Amino acid sequence: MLRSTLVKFIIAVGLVVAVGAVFDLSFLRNAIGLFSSSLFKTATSLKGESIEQLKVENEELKKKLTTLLVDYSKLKYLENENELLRRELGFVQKNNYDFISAEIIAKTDVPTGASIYFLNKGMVDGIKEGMPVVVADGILIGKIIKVEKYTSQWLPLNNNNSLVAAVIFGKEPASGLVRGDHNLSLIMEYVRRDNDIQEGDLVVTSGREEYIPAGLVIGQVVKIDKRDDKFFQTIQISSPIDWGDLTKVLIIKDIDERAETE
Amino acid sequence: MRELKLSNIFITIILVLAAIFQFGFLSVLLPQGISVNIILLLTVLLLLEGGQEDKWWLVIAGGVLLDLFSPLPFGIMTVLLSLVAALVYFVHIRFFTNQSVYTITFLGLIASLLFRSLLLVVGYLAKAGGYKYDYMSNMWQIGLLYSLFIDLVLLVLFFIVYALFKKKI
Repeated sequence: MLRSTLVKFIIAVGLVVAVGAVFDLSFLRNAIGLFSSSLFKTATSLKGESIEQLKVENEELKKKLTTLLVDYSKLKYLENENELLRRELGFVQKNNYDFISAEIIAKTDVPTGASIYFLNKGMVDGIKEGMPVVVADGILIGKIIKVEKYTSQWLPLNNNNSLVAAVIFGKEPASGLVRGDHNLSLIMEYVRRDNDIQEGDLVVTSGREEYIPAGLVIGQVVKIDKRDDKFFQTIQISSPIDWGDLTKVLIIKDIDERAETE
Repeated sequence: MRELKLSNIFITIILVLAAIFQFGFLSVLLPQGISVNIILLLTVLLLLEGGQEDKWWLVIAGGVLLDLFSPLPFGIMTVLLSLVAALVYFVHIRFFTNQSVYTITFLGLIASLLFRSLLLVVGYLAKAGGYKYDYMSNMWQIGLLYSLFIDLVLLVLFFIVYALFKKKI
């Protein structure tokens, strides 16, 4: 009796693996996602409901606004003075992106500590692996890492395995690679030691990757680790976004497709 | 037969609701690095407390739900859950003679620890094999103890609710 149950069980497990390998079951995830996305919103609002927390956030936002205004003026200056450089780097205008809005339907925290988010948009909506996930029309928060027919997976930028080519807007542009630091913050590596970086400098995408346009905001420099015995300096970056508060995100669609439609 | 079918449908609905709660609610509220696997806990509880041999489909259903919301290739969670459930079931019939709260809690914790350990092994193997995204983070050790403690609390809670529900029926 037990032996026949065991045989049936092993066959059933094998069938699940085979079905999963052959068929796209993302429609099931999307069906469950219809209910879980509402719960996701409720949980997110519950998480950030504390008045004290709102006060602190308000103060932080005021500070950020001031800093961003300064950055904006810096960028305007750069825009006027370095038009040729901008063209050479292929920077695109912020409002020209072709966005697709997606809802977060689930979050998975695997025991290894990483968080992966599931979105309710997939291949049928034109989503491709490697596309940038943004908020507020241009703040990069991650990349699409897996696409199925009706759903996709988004890896946040603060994940240890995230990697994006970036440029620091300091006295002179300095390039490097931004990656997640213990799923909490961001660090930029491979920035040459002779590059003059200051705290508060703006970090944006360099546009040297497929699908990721130049000029998407990543964050601001908060700490610089510069040592004489090292060829590169390591920069700690603060993102203006709290990943835990997100329920909806935007995905920038294929740049080439956008160019064709224009 | 009809009773069996109804109870199966009811248990399936409970598992789907557990998946929605786990991936859409608890994962948002719990701090980074701490994860709770309600589906695993419910599967083990119902397998050990229920009609045993006719409840093996539960493990398959639980595995499919875990696979739907896993970044790993489809089927890995089902295989891992099956291995863990089979081992816990074997330990239960071989070494334990009762179904007390202590027994179920102990076995549930063993299942949780084993499942997480197997998942870590899969993560390391994926990393060694050059998998594009290896999902490894240096923070997992910190979260593991907290996760197991929450599992313990939930197991006791589920056992009490299950016992009360059973008595009512």
